[in-house]
Amino acid sequence: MVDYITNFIYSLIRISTPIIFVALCSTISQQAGLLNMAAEAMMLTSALAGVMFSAMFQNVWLGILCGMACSVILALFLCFASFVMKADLYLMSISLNMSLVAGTVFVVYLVTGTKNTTAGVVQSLSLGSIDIPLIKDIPILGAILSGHNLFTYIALVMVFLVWFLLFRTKIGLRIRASGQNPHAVESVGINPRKIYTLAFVLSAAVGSLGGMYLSMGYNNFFIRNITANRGFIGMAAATIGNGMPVGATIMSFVFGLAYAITNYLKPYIVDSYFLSALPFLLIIIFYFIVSAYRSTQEKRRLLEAKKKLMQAEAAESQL
Amino acid sequence: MKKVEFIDSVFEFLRVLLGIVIAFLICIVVIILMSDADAGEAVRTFMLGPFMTKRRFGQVLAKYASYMLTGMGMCYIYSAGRLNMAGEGAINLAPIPVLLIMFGTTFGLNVMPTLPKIVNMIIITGGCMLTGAAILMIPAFGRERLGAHEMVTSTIMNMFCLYAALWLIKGTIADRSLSFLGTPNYPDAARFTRYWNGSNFTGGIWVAIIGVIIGLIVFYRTPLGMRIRLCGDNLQFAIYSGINAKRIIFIAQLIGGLFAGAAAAVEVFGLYNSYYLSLLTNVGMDGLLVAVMAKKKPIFVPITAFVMAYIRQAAAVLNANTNIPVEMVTMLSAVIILFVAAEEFLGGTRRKVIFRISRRAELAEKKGEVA
Repeated sequence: MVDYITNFIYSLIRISTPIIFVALCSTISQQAGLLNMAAEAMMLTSALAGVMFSAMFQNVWLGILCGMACSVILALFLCFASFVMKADLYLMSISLNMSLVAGTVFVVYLVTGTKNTTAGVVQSLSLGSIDIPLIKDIPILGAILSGHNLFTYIALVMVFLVWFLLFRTKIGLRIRASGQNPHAVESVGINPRKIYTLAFVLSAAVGSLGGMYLSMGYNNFFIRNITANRGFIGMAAATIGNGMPVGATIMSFVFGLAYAITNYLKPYIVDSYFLSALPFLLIIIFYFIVSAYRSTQEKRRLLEAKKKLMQAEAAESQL
Repeated sequence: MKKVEFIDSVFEFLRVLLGIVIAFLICIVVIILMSDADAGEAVRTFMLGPFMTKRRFGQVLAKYASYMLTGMGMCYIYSAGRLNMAGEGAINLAPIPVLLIMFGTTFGLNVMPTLPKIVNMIIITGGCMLTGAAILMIPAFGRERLGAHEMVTSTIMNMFCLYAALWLIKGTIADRSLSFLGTPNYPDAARFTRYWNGSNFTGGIWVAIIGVIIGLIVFYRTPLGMRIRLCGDNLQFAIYSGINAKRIIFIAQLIGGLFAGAAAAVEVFGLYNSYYLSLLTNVGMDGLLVAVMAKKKPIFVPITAFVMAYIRQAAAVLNANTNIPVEMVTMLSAVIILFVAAEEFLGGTRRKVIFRISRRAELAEKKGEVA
């Protein structure tokens, strides 16, 4: 039984890793006041580019760097289209998603001659898993925390890094300020469009790791539509987490849990389509509940502020 | 001033046209690069392929019908200032209740095949439309009542709808004798008639034509259409002029859902003989592209939908006849969107031309005053 539970938690962490990366990626852009709808496209690009370049250079880290660079280039293209050419950002993101789902298949077809996978043809490399020296000897905790893929540990460190970036640095302050009031930012001489671009570049860099975890950690090859809509799930996690890195991470674990339960129930429940639909249903319900709670909270706050203002006015008129 | 407006619209048109032409040219360059043996033949297949046989052109017209409907629906949603993309999910899920009635109840099994075709078509289209509207209402409700971002909910909804549709079918009406998950074939009286000797050109085109006419009239000639446009153009103005903006935006999305449902009916009960796993290919998202190419103006939807249908069919023909995969064309949809949606594309030239004209008008006026 204990084995079963430790296995379950271990796989929960493993499944949640890409979602954490995407959630963090969306968190950065959300703090800048924009939804990162193109996270899916960024992940796909980096997943494929990581595989291709690691095979080309026969060096994992160079591959990861190149994958990240491709994702950043995509983000720059998106920003150029929407902030310089003034195309609608979300429209552009959606069309990028569509075109990269097809585009990655196209590249795979050009390289391998089949449309499905690079496995067996492209000799790509992947990051291995790591045992943490002391923790791995602790009975249950060791089995849960140790022996994960390196990407998983990077993800956990990334949570802290993103938090630090957003809340403890000048860039983070500017990003948050542009998200809350672009006009105010403009009035002190900062170009919000530059800040948006910076936020998107940073978020692309973080999100690309999520894509590369799928093709270079979880698997060691690229398959068609490898991200399987994790980009959107991460975006939902960031939205529910209200743009807070820790909140987004917790939500990623919750969604990871939904996936893990789905995986574990598969042998017992025949109706696999219902199980596949279940996580999405849970996300929608959860999102609605959280938004409802938040909007009532907001209303109450407004009401209280109004009351206070009235009281102050009444006190003033009495004087 | 009339002149400036005219030039503005000319540039709008030019942008769309150039976007499509540039994407087309890129396609042709890629085709020439990829087809080593007979580039000319491949380009010819791409350009004229859809028109070469009646069957292929029937396929274009079939796609045309569903793109017109989804494009029209997206125009409504998009011009109300919302990006509710649950249309894709609606197309997957909307036919299910009708299918459940058709194969799961005595009415469907015994009465429907004997009814006249037109009655069946009305039942099917109506049922799909209602379900489609209900599906699009969920993200809309989340946005207007709870403040949940409709883009997030609708993208998640799309995935949910896909699996939910398969789940509903599998548990109830799936044909167990098939090796894949699917329903039995539709009875002949409960599907759109195939014209042209069994090509994919079906009676669904009538639904599309009626839908487009109604859509155009409502959009341009009724107070409701006016209000929807107003909410999208300037929400504050709409609210201050006494419009119940929330309700109008709701209604816009409801209409979008009705159109998506109609498209689902045309697609599922026209192109296919039964509903099966992974049958629908991105019609909802292509509808968004159609609406964007039409610049949120439903009057252009019949044209852009045809362009879209033609491009998709050309890609499919190319895929079947040469070594060039269909994905190449999908990949270039981003290019089209970039040029069509980018307001700054040709923006400099446009400003220059408008500046020159207004300057000339000013000078002429002054001369008139002096004289």
